[in-house]
Amino acid sequence: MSRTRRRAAGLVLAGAVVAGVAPRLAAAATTRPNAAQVARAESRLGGRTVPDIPVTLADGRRVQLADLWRDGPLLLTFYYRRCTGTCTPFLEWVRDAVQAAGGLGSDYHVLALTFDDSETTADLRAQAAALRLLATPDWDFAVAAQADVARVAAAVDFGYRLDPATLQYDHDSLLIGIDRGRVVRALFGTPEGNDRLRELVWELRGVFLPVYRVPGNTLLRCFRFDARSGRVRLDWGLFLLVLPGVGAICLALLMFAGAGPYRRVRLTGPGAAPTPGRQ
Amino acid sequence: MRRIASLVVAIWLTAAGVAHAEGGAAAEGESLFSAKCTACHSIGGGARVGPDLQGVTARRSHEWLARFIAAPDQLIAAKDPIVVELLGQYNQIAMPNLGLTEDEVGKVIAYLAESGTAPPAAAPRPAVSPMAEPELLAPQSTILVLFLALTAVITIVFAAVASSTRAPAAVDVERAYALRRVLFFTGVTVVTALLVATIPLAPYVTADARADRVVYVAARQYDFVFSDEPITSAADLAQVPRISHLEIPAGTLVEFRVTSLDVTHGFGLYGPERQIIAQTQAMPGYFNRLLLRLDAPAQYHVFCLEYCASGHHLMRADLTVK
Amino acid sequence: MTTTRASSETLYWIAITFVLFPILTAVGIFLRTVQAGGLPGLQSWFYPLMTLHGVGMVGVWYVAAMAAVSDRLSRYVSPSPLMGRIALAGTLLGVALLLVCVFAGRFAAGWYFLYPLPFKGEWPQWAAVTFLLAMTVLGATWLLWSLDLLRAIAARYSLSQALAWHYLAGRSEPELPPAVLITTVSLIAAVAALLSGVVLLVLFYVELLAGTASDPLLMKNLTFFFGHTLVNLTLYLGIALVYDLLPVYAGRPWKTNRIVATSWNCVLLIVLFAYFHHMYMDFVQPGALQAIGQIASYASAIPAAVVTIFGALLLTYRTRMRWNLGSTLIFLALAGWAIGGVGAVIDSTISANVRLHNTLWVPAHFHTYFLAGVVFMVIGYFYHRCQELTDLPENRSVQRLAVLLMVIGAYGFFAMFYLAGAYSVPRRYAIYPAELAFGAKYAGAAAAFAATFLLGFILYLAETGKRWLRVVRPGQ
Repeated sequence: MSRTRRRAAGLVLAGAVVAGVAPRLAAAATTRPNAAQVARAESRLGGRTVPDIPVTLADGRRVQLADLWRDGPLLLTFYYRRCTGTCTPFLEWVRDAVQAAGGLGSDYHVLALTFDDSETTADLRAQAAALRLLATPDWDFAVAAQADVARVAAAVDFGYRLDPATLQYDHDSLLIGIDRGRVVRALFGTPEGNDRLRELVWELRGVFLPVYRVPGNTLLRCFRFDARSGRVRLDWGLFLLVLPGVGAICLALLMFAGAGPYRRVRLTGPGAAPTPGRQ
Repeated sequence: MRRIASLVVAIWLTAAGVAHAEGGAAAEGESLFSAKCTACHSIGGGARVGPDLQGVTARRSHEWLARFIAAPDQLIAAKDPIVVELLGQYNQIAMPNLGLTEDEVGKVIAYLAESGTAPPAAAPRPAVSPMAEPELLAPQSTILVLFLALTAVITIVFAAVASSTRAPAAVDVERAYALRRVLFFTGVTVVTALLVATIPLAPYVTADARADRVVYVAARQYDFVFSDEPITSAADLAQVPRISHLEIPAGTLVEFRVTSLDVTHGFGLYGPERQIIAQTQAMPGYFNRLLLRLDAPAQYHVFCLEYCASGHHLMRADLTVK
Repeated sequence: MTTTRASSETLYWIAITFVLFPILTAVGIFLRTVQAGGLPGLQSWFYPLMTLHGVGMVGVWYVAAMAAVSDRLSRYVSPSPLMGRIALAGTLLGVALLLVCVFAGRFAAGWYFLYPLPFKGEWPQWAAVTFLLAMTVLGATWLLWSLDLLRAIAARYSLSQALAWHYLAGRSEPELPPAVLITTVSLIAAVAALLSGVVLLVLFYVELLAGTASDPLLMKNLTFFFGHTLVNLTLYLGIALVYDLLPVYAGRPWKTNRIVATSWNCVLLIVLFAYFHHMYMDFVQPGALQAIGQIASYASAIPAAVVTIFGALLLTYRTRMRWNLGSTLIFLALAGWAIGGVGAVIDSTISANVRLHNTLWVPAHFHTYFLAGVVFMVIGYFYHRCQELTDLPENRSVQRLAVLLMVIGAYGFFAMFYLAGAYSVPRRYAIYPAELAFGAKYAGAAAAFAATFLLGFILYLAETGKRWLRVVRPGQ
């Protein structure tokens, strides 16, 4: 199966997740999983508890997932080594985006869990090497028993299914931020741009975003959350708010400057100030 | 690549839609009804901005209903006697054009006919008899007492100054200016102290806070829709399951993610004492995140706190903490 | 000093105010009556008339204060008579458009027409367009009027003189009347507010014509920059009158000095940032701006309370005060400003605002400093003006009764708002839900108090109106 079709299958699965819980598709249903649908699928995962399963890491250690999120938040993603479709590009994207977002190790760890239980620790190391992540201590690759992976996948709506004809998996792409065993936020599919991942990282760091934007574009907003710095930044719309103040000062200066040559300067004189008494 | 993906999904979604349509026009009418009509009408839940539509298909002819739902403005302009009577009963608030096709109108009527004969899905909210003032909550009474005390001080000072004019005398301006200096520095100190003391009490969540329960709130003219997933457009209303009655276990840290589908509304949360305990604005385009712990088991109410046109005062929701 | 003649525009403005204010007050009484459960047949007019009451009152008192200040300042500077007539004509045209959209179109988006409500109500599109046109006409007219008054000041003073910067440097020559300083400050800020209104209206028209939606947060910021600031400046124009008039009655001078100059220059800065307190419950607005909103709102209390009110009280204390209808109203207006200010400062505390935002506490405080503040200042000035032009004998008992009825009526009316607001009764509800049904009781009492106020105002009108008539027709 070509990479294109794999990817399409993944999207269909994501779509199916969206549509499965929302059985009624009204007239306005859009033609592909739009931002709102993805947002809904992701929102469903918020706050869910992730089962604490035993996993085997690339170096052969056997640990519990809880051991990994005990020291700090965990970014969890799924893949399998033989994938000829989305897995490698997705992992490469995660690697680059995490590097760009910063904080790996100090603020969170990453675990890539394979859902192919036939993989060995050698496969895990090979995958790490292929991604040039062997020497990155806070990036782990892990394998676990099929039933355990299935429990985790079920808990976070992650769909994967072996196609017996091709021996390839139909699967989603999913990235989950976990804090103390609960999902903070999840990202389905390859997010366009790195901003959503950066937002997720800020939330893992404990930054509270007071507001989420509804998907959709408006010309000229006042503020935007700058995912790079984790701060709210002024946006171009604010210019329109400053404009009246600046305009008023300019107009005042103009009025006074224009009247200058004709000004009757009287240092003192009648009418300069009210005087006591009846007027 | 993406185009192929889109196509596949489109086919899948269309197939699902067709399969669903075969389930019956009434079911499709239901989603239309919930998207277009429930702001003003209920079925068996009592009159809202417009009449309760239970049994409406028995009261009115199919032909009249179809004409009215398709183009209310035409019947209003034609001074249709039924419409004139209804306008009289419902404060002259005219039904807006909904932009439904003839086919869609038929589906809505099919839904009305089906649900009109069946028993109402949910019992209407029991009529609440008018209530007297509750006991003021501590913050509210602090505010009121502070205000009344300062007002009393101002009144006394003005009265004293006014009555002093009965016995005119020269005033030592230097002493007065000294007093003004004292007042100025006292004022600056008090204001600064109050700012330092109160700004940190602002209800904005700044630190890391993970809610036990996230509730999405979509405000629209004129109701609040609770759901577990975000609703950001009228189209979502038909796709996302709603929480018909929100129940929250006592002690839960709840996060309300509040947005609006049309104009700006206010999400005013009234506690068991029927006074505001928290609020945020429901603004289209944004989710305002309101976090609070609901401890006392009781009935809570949400009232709209931003004027949103003729049904503003009817816009409300209830939730139960238990 | 001789009494200057009143221009015919001033006399027109006085007449317009005296006609529109009682009508709009009656509309207000209607609103409280509906809330009390009365007039069920007219309930559907609640929101359109609420819109009329709001826009009308804000507009009437802005123009009345501008007219009064123009009139008083014509002692020092020369506003253009032509501009005065343009202002009059533009305002009347705007009011006519407003009446059409409210009565023929049932337009009901409220006085600050928060985006995108004008496009999404039960009223027809043309009503929204007419309303926006009315706002455009009024905004453009008032912008020109404000600029003309600034021009008149500029013809006599340089900008640094008009802002009393020479007092800051320790010089008191040339002498600058405080009224000119305050008016200059108010007008510069008013131009900013009106320009904000222009930007707001342009964005509305862009959506109307091109269908490009705007950011509701940006629109809300613009709305309150415009609305809040304009209302705030109406009050400051009234204060300019107080600075000029109170010395006349107290028989003591009230001059600009370094403190007065400092505080009003601070006001120019503060007044542009205070409006953020309208956005506290929009969590999307960054926290820093919310804090600036509270700091600016608190800071504006210091120049107000310590400089102006203290100055006024010092001026009055143990002086041989000439009390009449005009001076009593002006003195009471300062108390109204102070009390309303306390209500406002409490509401501008973010942690208190959670409990008060969009409850009846909001109309409570702005009615206090509008009705018992600006209105008292301006009608006090109008009485003073008509009296100084005619010098008729003053009927002290009628004047006392008028003031007494107005004060009892106004404060009783405010108290109902404050109490209901403390109990979380929302503002702008035509009918109260059962849980808040006690709001109706307060509404009923408020309607009765407001009627009492109106009675007092009619007595005031009898006193002032006959003087006005004498000015217009000296022969009778």
